[in-house]
Amino acid sequence: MEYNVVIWAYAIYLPTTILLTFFVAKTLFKQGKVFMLDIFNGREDIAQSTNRLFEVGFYLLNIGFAMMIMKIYYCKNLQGMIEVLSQKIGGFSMYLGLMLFFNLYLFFRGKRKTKQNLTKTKKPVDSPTFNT
Amino acid sequence: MVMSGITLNIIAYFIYSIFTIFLTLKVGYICYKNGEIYLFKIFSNNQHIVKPLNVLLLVGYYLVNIGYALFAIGTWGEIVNKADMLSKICEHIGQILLLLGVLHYFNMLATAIVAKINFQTNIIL
Repeated sequence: MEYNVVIWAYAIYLPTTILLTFFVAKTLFKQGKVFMLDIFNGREDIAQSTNRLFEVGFYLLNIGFAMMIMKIYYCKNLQGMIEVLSQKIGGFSMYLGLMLFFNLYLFFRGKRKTKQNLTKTKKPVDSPTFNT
Repeated sequence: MVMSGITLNIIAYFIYSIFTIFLTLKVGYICYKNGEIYLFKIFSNNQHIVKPLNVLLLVGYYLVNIGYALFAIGTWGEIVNKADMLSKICEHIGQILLLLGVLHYFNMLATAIVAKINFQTNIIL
């Protein structure tokens, strides 16, 4: 009986977390293309591939984490299964939200760096013309 | 055979999750609709990132809040009768609502502070 409940719990947990990860990654990187274009100054091809690479990394990291925390140590009946599952899925969802905000932070950081580099590379070009 | 043994706890969890998920979605959608104008003001120099940013903020908010609401289910303890069930459901929904309210005011404060800094120092975001 106990064995059965745990199997059921896993069967619910795995599709839920994997679908959640897919959905979040799709949303994040569909909307993140604008940021990538900003970071790479509108160079479409490199922005696209960087976006894709980040997306793959996001999948690997999050599905890996979801599978790592899957093991259920104690679960005796339906009520226990619901409690354990809600804790695990809720915790994973919070983690996913934090990862999303972390990625957003990376986007903004990249944007800032690009802006700094632009101003840096502009100066040596500008100053000789100013001196002469 | 797994589906036998529905206790009061399970019914309470069911009602609680429906209420909290509905409330979170509703509050998030209202903030999403009405927060856009502030984002446009803050990012007045590059407005093309406001719409994607708003969607991402909404999704992150949903994930963290619904995640927390589900996470809190594990610690209810045994429910013995229906009165107990009602009081426990109300207690936990109240907790979630309080949390949402505090976060909401905190967000509005943060928006005001960012707008003020933006205005004073002219930092381009």
